[in-house]
Amino acid sequence: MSNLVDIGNLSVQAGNRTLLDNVSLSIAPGERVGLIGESGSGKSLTALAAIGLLAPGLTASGSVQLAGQQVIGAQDRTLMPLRGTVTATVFQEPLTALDPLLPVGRQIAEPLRRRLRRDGRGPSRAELDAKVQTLLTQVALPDPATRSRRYPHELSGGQRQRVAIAMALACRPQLLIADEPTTALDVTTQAEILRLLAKLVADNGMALLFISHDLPVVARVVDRVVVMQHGVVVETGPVAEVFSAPRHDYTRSLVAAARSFDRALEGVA
Amino acid sequence: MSLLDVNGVDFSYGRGKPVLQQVSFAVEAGASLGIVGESGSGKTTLLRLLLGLTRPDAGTIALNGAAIDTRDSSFMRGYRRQVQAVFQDPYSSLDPRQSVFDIIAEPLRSLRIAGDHVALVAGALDAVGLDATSLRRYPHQFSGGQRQRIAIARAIVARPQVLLADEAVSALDLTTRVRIVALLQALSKDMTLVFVSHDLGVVAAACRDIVVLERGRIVESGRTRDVLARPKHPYTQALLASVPRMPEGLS
Repeated sequence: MSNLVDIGNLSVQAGNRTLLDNVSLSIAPGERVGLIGESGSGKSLTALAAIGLLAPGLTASGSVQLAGQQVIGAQDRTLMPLRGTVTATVFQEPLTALDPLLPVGRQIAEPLRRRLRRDGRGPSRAELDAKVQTLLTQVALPDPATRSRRYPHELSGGQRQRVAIAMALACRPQLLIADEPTTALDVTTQAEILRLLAKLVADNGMALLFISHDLPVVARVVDRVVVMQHGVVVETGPVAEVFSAPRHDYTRSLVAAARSFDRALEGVA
Repeated sequence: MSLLDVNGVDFSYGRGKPVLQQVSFAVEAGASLGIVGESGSGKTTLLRLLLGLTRPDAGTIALNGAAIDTRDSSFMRGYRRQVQAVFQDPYSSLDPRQSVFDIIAEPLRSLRIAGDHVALVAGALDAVGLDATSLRRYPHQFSGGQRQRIAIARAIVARPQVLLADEAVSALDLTTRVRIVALLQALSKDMTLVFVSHDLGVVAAACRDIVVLERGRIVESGRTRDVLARPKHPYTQALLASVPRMPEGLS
């Protein structure tokens, strides 16, 4: 089976500044890939490039194939149907990703209605409502019948992120892109959301592109990691291998930093 | 008598539900204390009380035995000299229009501290590991980690007894975080560090003592090493179990 995402020698420029330099990355169906690096390393930009959402001022060269479709230079009209069918994205801050003026159930109904129309069905209100409840149950939102009528500000950060995940699932994407989805959450909530993501990806056979600066978080949900620094991929490999025997100096410094906090928790710092 | 004494503090906003209830702890001179909790634990409110920005509904906060009185402005000036803070976001906590020298010298001016300001600022800058050429530059010319060093220099320039750090490394990259924690640790040899954070790993690395807050109450406290090795309260146990760790090595 061909790759869902195939990025080959992608370079992105803002004027004279190179933001991404010869980045190559592929994701096969069902594969779980972590994109790690510090701020400014280009990890989010790589994900945006993969779905054709580069800001207008940026120039891209190289190749980005999304489900076999060339993204670079393509019209938005061509790409629109791919976002949603092939990929769906969950971002860091659920409060800004959700519409503050709409009850969360209706926000999930929107992508759901689009997908059902796409599949040739004009769903009834009752059918949509039922499917929204199913999705909310899948993301383990407590008391979904009541909460679907709530507005985003009436939910906790973890509950909002569950709603954002439900919206992504409503599209039935082949690839779920999660960009720092737990960074804004409390640590106990983070643990729950990570378990949820791992389960949903496995249950639905989705591929996952998980973007984070937090190494141990990435290790919980992916099989393979891609390490970026200053717009360049410096290392890639199975997560256990890269984190236990990093080859690149930069990866080594990241792993050492993450392990130093682990050791402090063990009381051996 | 401890350096900082928090005794039976209650607090709520207006007639809302209590944010802090019967919070008591003491910090000895030269100690380092981490205050850990998740959102809604009351840690930010506690920090505001420690800074003297709000008054507790009940209980007292005392420095060297003298209770804070937020209405007594000359007392508060003395208090601010002794208790300085570093905040989370190094991008919003520095005035973009001031040079680094003016930013660091600001507490000396506002607290009307006599002496050679140039020498004091140079000393603070040196203590945080920035070189003297930084003084004429402006915040936007520095990275996040360097900005946090500037914020720390500003906090220590008046030689306070207590340095309050509010999530002071949360916005920083991992490798930068390690370096700023090491800096705070080094500084805590000469002053008392109170580190408010949601991050157990950071507190474990920086603080000898720990207080765990859950919904406005202290559920556990003690030496950080002991609390983390044998957490007694279910909340501390859950918190510790939730922290993601690096996978065990292959070798």
